[in-house]
Formats: sequence, structure tokens, C-alpha cells
Amino acid sequence: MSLEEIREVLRSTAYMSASLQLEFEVQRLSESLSGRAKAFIWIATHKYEPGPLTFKETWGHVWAEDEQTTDSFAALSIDEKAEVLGFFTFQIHELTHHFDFLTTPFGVNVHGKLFREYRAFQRFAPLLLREVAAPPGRFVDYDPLAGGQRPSDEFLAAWREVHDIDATLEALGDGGMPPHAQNVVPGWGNDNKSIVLLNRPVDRITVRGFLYTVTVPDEPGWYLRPSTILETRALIHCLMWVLKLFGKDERAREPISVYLDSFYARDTIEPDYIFLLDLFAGAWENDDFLSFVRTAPMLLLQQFLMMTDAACWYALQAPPPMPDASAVRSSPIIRLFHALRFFYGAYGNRTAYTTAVDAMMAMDSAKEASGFELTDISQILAYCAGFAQYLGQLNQREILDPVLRGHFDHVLGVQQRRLFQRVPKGYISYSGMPEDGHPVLGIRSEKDVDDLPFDAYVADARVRDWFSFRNNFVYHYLHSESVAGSLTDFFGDKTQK
Amino acid sequence: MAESSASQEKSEQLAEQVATQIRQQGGSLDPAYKALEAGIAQFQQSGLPLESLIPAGERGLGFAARHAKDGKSFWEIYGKVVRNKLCTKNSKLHTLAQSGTQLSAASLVGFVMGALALPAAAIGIAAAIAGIIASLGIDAFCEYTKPANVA
Repeated sequence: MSLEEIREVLRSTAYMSASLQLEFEVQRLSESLSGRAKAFIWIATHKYEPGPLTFKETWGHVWAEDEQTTDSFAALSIDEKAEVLGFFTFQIHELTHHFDFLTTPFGVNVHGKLFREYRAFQRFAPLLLREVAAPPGRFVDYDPLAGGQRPSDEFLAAWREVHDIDATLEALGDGGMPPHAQNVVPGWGNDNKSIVLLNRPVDRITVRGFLYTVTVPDEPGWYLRPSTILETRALIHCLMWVLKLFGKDERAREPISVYLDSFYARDTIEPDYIFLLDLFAGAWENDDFLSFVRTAPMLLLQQFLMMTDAACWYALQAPPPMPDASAVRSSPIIRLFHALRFFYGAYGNRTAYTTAVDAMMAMDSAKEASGFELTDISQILAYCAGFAQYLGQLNQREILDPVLRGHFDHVLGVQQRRLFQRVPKGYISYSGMPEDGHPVLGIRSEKDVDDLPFDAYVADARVRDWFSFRNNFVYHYLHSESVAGSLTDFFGDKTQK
Repeated sequence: MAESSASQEKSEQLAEQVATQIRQQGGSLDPAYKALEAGIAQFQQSGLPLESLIPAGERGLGFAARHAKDGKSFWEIYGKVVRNKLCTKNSKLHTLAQSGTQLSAASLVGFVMGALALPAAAIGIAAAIAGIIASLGIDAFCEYTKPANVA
């Protein structure tokens, strides 16, 4: 029963990327752990006195180096092993998301769009309330000209601004669901042929007219999207941590299998978590990632995780649209394809790179890179830092609600500082590609400590209410009176700045 | 219009059928899961994503988010959210529970559609939910009788 309860608690754990908050029931987790799992945690953390676990107690021990810990782990049942592995990894999972959103060009793109969406709603909501009250159905599918309506030109221009941002966010996976089927078309432009990715044919699709990606086999409606990249990285970092705990050798094989079986059984979870790992494992002639884990030499498994992690990190360096390039440069998916193929090719050719960063630099200068409009990473990072700064200034000038303005000021400020700091380092990031999977252990500066931990920022309830409302309004069905009430609350009566 | 009314009637019959089967099977929700599956398939034909049906607030990236693949997993993922939305202390269900009114499954279909603001394509899913509520009874469905859950 305990493992089922732990699964429930961990499944309800979520990183709210828009408001930067971790939702997690700490009390329920500790109450749900079985007695034997709790006893093991005390042994593994060397906790000798009651009280909350410190950072060092939680993350400062390699279990393989302590006989009592390894013996105690071996004595646990499979379910109890899963309990403790879940306990020691869920924060790594969510921290990976948090760092990815605050330190990468992709994060700047997403938060920049959330800011621009709010700013566009500030203009559009009063017009909507005046002319229509509330649109029927989901806002992302709303067409103000349907049914012979003829709203004002001002209304249409303001609607189009919000709609274009939301359609882009939707394609990027912001709502946690695919768009309406009519917005997903087969092929990339005129090319409808399957693409061979790591020896496996996959179907090309274009989402919302700009996002070139591929379908996830046997999962109707699903496609490879940025969430796939984010979840793959989060899972890899957890597996790397388990590897570290067990000495990075054969001893880690059983715990990793237990972990995957217990929390990532394919028929129960969203495809985002293991689609890429399965795909990459297929290149090594395995049916899926789990088979690979069960049979691959441990050194190969480690390299596999590092390569996939690096390919995903490379993908997340896709910037917001830059003035001199098309949407192709801004696609994390295109960057991911390039990286996966590059790594696979390099492995096949036995081309060795000293570090993953060296491989990424080589990817940028590969002959096919020009087709993807790739550009120098320093240029991307500098652009992103400048872009976050520019949006921050726009926020100060134009956002009327002081609470929301404060939120965007925080997010864009952190991103501007983090991206600026990365400019001279390019792809190098100890927290972006942490050696043992734990992003916090990759923090190298005091400024990182000020900006990046979860407790560095607590979003105001109004900020959380906004992101909750906008998610429901854009992607779900709400009653028209509740829509009108919320829009009035957020935008109805604001003093002009 | 005639098509929509026929679909409503069919859904009301389905809801009654589901409620009866659940009672006959001693409270097993298997008949509802089967009906949910049919409702999900019908909904997906509209081209809309299943995840759009139940508002969940700010989108979170989870540790191991579940995926609704069939009627049972749909209910495991969304059942609690549905109950929370339908059973608030200002809801019609709460009023009905207090007055002791017994409602037929058929009459609950429209209520579920309205309370969850569901689109027309989701009427099959609403029928299955209505069947569950009617078979369990409002008190048991909303857990109003549990001291900690009294609205």
C-alpha cells in the first residue's frame, strides 16, 4: 500500500513553470512512507537526531561507500526500494525543470511569451468584455469571425495578438495537450515521407503551421514536443543520481530497473518521459530503454544517459525568434534531431569528443547545420539576455497590475542575469549538464544561489491565480460568467500607469 | 437540432443503463469505465484533445504524470477533479443532497454537462459520470457523509 501512496504523492508533485512554484505535499509524503523505508532513510542520510534533513544529509552520501546503507537497501522489498528511490529523486526531477526554464534560451522564449500574452490580454480583455462578454469554448480555438460576427477592427487586432502567442505556446506543449486535430497536419511543407530517426521511421507532422516535429508511435494525437525534452532530461538526471548512489557500477542496475518499473511503466504514464529514451535505445538495437538498462554494460548506459542529456541540453538552446532567422532556428525539436543524429553518427564512426560541449561545438559547425540556420551559441545567449532585459523594460513601462509586474520583473531579471552569465561559457553549464544529475550541485556562484533555488522566490497568490485562470481559459472549457468575472478581476479596473 | 436532441436522449438512456449495471454488479464501476471508453472515443472524433475536458489550473510538469488510455485510467486521473467541481458547497448537487432528493441518472446528464461546462461532443462521457453518481447516490459520490468532507 505504501508504494501506491508514494506514487500518488509523487504524481501529484508538479513544477509550475509559469509561476516558478513547486507543488508538493511534504507531510503526506513522509506519512506515506513505510516504516522500513523511513528507517532506511535515517541510515542512508546518517541522521542521528530528530529534525528535518539537511542538504548535506540528503545529498551528501554515496550509498555504495557505506556498508550499512548497502546492506539495508539490499534487505528492502522491491516496493520499499522504489519508495526510497522516489524519495531521493523527485526533487532532482523538479529542480531540473526549474533550472531549465530559468537558464536556457528555450526558457526565455516561453516566459517571454507568457509575459507578452499577459500584456496582450491587458489590451484585449476590456474589448472582449465590452463586445462579446466571453467566447464560447476554448479560447485557443476561438474565432471571432465565426458565425457571421463582425467585431470592431480594434477587437480583431487585439485578439490576433493574443491568439498568435497562444497558438505558438500551444504547439510548444504549454497546455499539456495536443492542439485540435485540425491544427496538426501531416508532413513538413510538401514533404510527407517518413523520416528515419536513429534507424526508426517516424511520421513527420507540422503543428500550428510552424512546429516541424514527428508523431509518437501508438499514441494518437501525441507528438515530440518541448515537454518531451524537458521530461527526458528530468528523468535522466534522476537516473544519473541513482547511478551515483550505487557507485556507478553493476550495483546500480537493479535499483534503476526497479525505479523505471515502479514509476515509469509505459502503459500508465504520458509518453513524454520515455519516448526519446526508447528511440535512442532503438539505435542500439534494443526494443526499448528498459531492455537496454537490463542488458547494456554500465559504462555504455552512463554514456547513453550523458549523450541523451547533452542532446536535450543542445535542443533547449533554441532561442526566441531572432531578427535574422526563421522559426527553424527557434525550434528545439530541429536542434534535437540534429543532435541525436550527430551523436549517433559520431558513435558509429567512433569519433570521440573529449566533452559533450566539444561535441556540441562540432554540431554547430557541421555541414548540415546551415540548413537549420544554427548560429553561434554565444550569439544566441547574448541575444536572449538582451531580449529578457528588453521585455523587462517593457514590463516596467506597460504592465498595470503591480503584482503581475513584480512577477515578470523577477522572472525576466533572473533570466537576463543567468543568460548573460552564460555568454562567455557557451554550452558549458554545470547545473545544466550536472555530472551526477543533481542540478544544485552544479551551482558555482553566489549569484546562482540568490536566483535559482526554489525558495528564492514565492509567487503571490494573484500570480498563481492568473496562471491557473489563463491555463483553464485558453485550453479548457469554462462557464462564461466565470470567464467574465475573472477577466474583470484581472483587467477590469486598473489605474493607468 | 433534432440530431442533438436524439443524442441527448441516447445519452440519458446510457446513463440509466450504466447506473443499473453498477447496482447489479454490487457497486463495481466496470460498466461506467466501458461507457467512458465509448464516450472518450466519441469525443476524440471531434478532434479535441481529451485533456481539454477537465480544467486543472496552472499547468505543472510532474514527476510521472499519468496518461488516460481507457475508461478506468480516465476516471482514476479525473474522477477526483470531477468530484471536487461537482460537489462544492454552492453546487446544485449539494442542495439536492441536503433536500434528500433522489435523481435519476437520465436527469443528471444535463446537470453534469452544465456543471462541468462540457462541450456537446462530451455527452457520452457525461452520461457515464451521471450513471456513477446515480448508482452511488449523491452523498456517497460526494463523500458528504464523511465528517472531513462535509461541504
